Amino acid sequence: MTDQLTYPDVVQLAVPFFIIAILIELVWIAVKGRGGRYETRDAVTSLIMGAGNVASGILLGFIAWGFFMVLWEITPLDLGSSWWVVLICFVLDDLRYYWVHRFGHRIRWVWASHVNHHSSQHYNLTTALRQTWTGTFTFMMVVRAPLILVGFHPAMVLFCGGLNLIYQFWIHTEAINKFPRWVEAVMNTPSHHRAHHGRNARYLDCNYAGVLIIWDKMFGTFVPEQDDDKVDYGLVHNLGTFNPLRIAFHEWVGIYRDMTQRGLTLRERLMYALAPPGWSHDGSRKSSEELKQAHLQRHPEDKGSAGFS
Amino acid sequence: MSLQVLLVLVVGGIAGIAAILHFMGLTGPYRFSEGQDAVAAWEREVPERPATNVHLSSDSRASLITFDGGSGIVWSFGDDTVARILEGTRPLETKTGLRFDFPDFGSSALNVRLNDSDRDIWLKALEAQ
Repeated sequence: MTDQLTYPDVVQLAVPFFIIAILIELVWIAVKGRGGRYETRDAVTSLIMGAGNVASGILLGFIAWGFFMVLWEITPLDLGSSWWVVLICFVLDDLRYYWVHRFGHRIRWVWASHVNHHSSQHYNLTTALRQTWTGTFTFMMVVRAPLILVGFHPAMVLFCGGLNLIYQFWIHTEAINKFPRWVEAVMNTPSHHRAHHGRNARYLDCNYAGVLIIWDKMFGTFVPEQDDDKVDYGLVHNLGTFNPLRIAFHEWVGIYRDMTQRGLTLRERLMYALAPPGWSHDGSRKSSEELKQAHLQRHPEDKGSAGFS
Repeated sequence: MSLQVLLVLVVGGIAGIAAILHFMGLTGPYRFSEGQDAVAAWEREVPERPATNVHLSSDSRASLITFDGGSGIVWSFGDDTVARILEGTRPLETKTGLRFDFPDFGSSALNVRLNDSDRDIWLKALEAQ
């Protein structure tokens, strides 16, 4: 067993690149007068959320690492560390990312962690760094278990996950419109990910990909960005705060309040944590599907178009 | 990368980017130029409750919206806007206007600047709901 395998923490190493890229995007927008928007408090909030994410990784990373090492002790399989194993691991971890991300939008417990990434009404490179502080508590590390059990070393799996996150950094921009068709067909691009960040009914719950957009096409969640439906970034109900603590924990607080209401059945309490965001026991809120239906009632001409099929 | 170097990069990076953005004039709060702006911002977030009336604040950074069966508020949030339906939320009177404390943890308290006559208009509109 390759117990001593180590890889660099690529996300930490990429911090200088993140700062330089943000400055380049900012200069680009200032010079060209297009390609995105920056606002000081929004950007600073995103950066603080990013710093908090790194801090939470340092403080709580041992939980996931311990879990992975237990799995590594259990499994009799070891695929080694050759370059093609790393490549296969990267692709499979990207598939893992797709499902974790999909769960992140369809299970409120996981959404409570992921929601802060969507809480900015801007879409620029700082938005990419607006990351969760509470990912450990979603227990989504279990989705990585199969990779380790089939013989990919935990360090390699985390290394591939880090590369995946770095790839996703640069696609959080309006400065790049679209790439050649073959690139847009295979890769997750700024255009595809802009749609993912849209609060427009059309774009709700689409384009979960990390690196390869093929997963969305395979699993029926791909919606291309439409020229005639400009992406409106943010949440269906946008946050009214730049306070990082409120941003990090607001949905957890919401779950707690909903689950502890008087007069609910046990099933209803669990549904407030496990059903898709927007579920309510009395129908007073709208899920993504209901928001799409409400949109089609106001705009029947959109029926059958992308995102409404 | 050592923790010390990472800390310097993160703190320095955030402070540097904040300073650059501020000195580029990108901190200015959004203001509604007219009532129609506030209505558009409201209906962007609450399309199922079309506005029937609108009252801008004295500094044009917030607007009280009334709709059939209720009222709401839309306000500038950085370079953007946020809206909330006022379900049982009653404001506190302050020296400079009204203060709204929202029940949801995703909104900080909102202080709306209103002169005396505008404050009266807002309070009457809220009481009428």
